[in-house]
Amino acid sequence: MSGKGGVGKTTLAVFLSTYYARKANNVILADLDVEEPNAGIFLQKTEIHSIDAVVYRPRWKEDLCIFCGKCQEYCKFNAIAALPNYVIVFQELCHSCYACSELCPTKALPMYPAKIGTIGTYHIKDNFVFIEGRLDIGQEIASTLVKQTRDFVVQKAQEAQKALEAHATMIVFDAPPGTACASREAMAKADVVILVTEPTPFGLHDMAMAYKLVKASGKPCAIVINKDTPGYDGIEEFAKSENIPILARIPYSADFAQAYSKGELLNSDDIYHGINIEKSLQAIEAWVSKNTSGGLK
Amino acid sequence: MKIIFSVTENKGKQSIVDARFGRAAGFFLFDEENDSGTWIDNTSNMNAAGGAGVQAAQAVVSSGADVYIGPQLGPKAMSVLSMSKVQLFEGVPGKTVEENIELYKAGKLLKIR
Repeated sequence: MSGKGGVGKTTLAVFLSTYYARKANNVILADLDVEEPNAGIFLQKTEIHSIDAVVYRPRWKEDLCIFCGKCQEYCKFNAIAALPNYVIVFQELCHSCYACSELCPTKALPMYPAKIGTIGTYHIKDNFVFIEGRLDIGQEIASTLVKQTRDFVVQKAQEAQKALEAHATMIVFDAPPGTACASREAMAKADVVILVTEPTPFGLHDMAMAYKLVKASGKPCAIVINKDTPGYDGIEEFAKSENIPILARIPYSADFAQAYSKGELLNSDDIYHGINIEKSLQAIEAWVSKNTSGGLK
Repeated sequence: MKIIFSVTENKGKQSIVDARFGRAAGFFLFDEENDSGTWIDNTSNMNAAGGAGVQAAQAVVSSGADVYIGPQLGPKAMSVLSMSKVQLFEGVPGKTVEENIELYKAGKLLKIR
């Protein structure tokens, strides 16, 4: 997680999952940034399958409606306008909570399925799977798909674990930026959280917001500083005052940024565009295994 | 005839017309017959995560207004208001309710379609 966008969540998630896979772990990398999934760009992959992500939303039945207006009062998302002689359901604002449908005294708002996106599964290596949630264009609610993708990934990991018996599966969730519902859903099933940030006041501000969310969950949490350059100590000061370990500092590199902008595959070589990424990944691995008792889930 | 205005604060006919609709501070419902007005608070909508326009449009319809004068409307507010009989006019934000009434009476405000 990061709060701020563009700090390097995806880069680190791709490197970290590739690293774990190279060390013969069973790994699933999950891109939960469903509004703009991009981890797949940096991986050589083959699609296994893609399923539709479906939610249920109400449709108004005029002949059953008694125009009591209760549906509009119940809707916490302002998705319903109840007029004296007409009810409008704004599908794009609906969170599929069922409140209006179940509480309508005349059952005038039955629920119908609607496709909101896709969940794609890709083969990277025999022990490395990539799963991506992708929201359809025009859809406004990302959190539902984040949750569905996350649960799909966890289910796949459990199935794999059962089938393979010996090995646990490592899941790397690449969370969306921000600190709202979608981010909360993204971290809900994680054992540990890594906050990726950049050494700028903006990076600190949004990371501090994300940290508030993580702190409330009680999950172990650590910081990785990406695009590190000297001159700003805000992240260190914050980490010290909150007692959060800083696991790694990945230095800024113009070469790296250029390779990224071209969508170059992120291969976890020891030295990547002049940066010793391996050392950072080792430090992360050590912290993760220390904080996940009884092995990885 | 009743005219409803999207306004920045409650100052009667001296209220300033807001440039925002769904997230305006409130609405001023002016009753031409007895030259008096009512304040409809909208602050609960100001910080809504989404659907502020829908709720504000609903408030305009329930107010019983015949005419709306305020800023342009978003697509969701528009689809609610187009189901009602309220006539929609684009007001001049920054000017007072009183000034907007004069412009309306002089036929200088454009209809929102």
